[in-house]
Amino acid sequence: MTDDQDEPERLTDKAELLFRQVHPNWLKDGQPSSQAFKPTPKDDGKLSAARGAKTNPEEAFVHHTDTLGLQSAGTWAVNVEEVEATPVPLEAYGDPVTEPAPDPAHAFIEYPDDRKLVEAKAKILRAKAGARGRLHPNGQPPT
Amino acid sequence: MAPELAPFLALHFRGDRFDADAGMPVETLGELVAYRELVTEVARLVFLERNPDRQRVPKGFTDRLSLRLRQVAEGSAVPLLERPAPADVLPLDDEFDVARDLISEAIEAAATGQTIPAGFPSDALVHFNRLGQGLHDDESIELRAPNAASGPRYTQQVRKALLAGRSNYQRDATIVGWVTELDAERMRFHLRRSDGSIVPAPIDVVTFDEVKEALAPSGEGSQVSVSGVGVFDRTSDQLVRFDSVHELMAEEADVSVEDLIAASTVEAGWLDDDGAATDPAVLQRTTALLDAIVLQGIPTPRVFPVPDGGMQAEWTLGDREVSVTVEPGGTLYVISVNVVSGDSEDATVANDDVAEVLRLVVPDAS
Repeated sequence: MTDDQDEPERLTDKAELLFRQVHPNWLKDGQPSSQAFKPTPKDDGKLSAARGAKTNPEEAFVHHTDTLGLQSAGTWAVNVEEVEATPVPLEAYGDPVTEPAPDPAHAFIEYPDDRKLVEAKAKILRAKAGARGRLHPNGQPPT
Repeated sequence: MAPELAPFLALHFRGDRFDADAGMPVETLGELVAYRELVTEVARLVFLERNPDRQRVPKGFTDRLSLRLRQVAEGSAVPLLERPAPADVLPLDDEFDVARDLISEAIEAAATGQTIPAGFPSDALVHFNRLGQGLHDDESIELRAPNAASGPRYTQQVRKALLAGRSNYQRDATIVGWVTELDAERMRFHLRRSDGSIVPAPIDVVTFDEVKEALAPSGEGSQVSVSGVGVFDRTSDQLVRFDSVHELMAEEADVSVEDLIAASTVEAGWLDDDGAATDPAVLQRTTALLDAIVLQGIPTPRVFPVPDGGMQAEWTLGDREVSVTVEPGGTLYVISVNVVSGDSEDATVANDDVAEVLRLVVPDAS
């Protein structure tokens, strides 16, 4: 799905937001599940996200739901600094794609092949995103 | 004409509550009052030590302190305390300046594991009880003297070290339990916690009706949440009693575990045409597990389906994010992560090992 002409670009602006769409089944009491912040088995260790430098929370939501036809309860976000922070430092990459639909804002966060590290990082990012709150639709979702 | 104010001390509050938003949480302003009381008491004892022929300080003595708060420095929670410059006393002789410095030296000594300086009046140590009473474990107060680049940091650990001679200490506490006894004459009640321990607490005319309503035969009425100044045993750190109660509220009835799980049960293809249906055996095991956990007084979790047909219960417990994943294969995966410190612990346990699950979910109760 990656555009073969471009290698993924390591993201370096620590303040850049990375948007995640949270599936409706992964939202309870206004809080996303930590599962929304770790790859599923089919993701091959790469958790997809949308770059804040290339899109915004609403556009990311519309792309996910209208363009790709997927479900979302809204847009949450972490930033590059939070992705890179210890004790589980990860790397985020800009990765524009053309399939299944053009998405110049596509990015991914690369996770290791270690369950404890993956779970720990997912929980830390969940806490960060939860504290930031849902970015789109505006306001916190109903509890 | 109002007297000119001179800097006395800057208190730099640190921790999530102070770093998250601008300004200071109002509930922490009590620390400024507690600090003033501590300075006043130390100054009083310094005066009496210097004047052994006197039994009391002179009239108007405490008026010389008259701490004022005109500004909170930007960037963090740093209230700047000032006082009228003492007109007829040299700085080295002023008991309040001396008290400020003695307090900072005592805190520095306690923070570095050293003996509290001999010049600090031991009778004043008890007044550290109120200072930092509401501090969270991740918080500190740095006491910075005028023109100093830094100062000693006061934390709950330092506070406990300073109160080491006492058998107990006070700090703010909130617990949930059931009312088992109400003494209308002595205006006290007993609260039973989920671990069976009894915590006595005072009531007043405001909280009396709430307590009376929660009292039921065999102590099986609705749960109440009690917040106030708790007294803790210094050795065990267990809550012994409440000395005062700020707030008492009936706990709302929780959604049943069965309802929670039913709301998280899914059909095949639920995750955008991916995702397995919830395994029926997982449903049963999750219900039994969460019934056992909630019975221990642990809050009901957020429950979510897992793509492989399992279920995951998640909690946010203070600084910790905790989850238990009920896996289709028959095991449980438990992980607890402190999102502030980064410390984590995980375990894959046999299905019926509730004790091991509880050890990770609520380690303080082990």
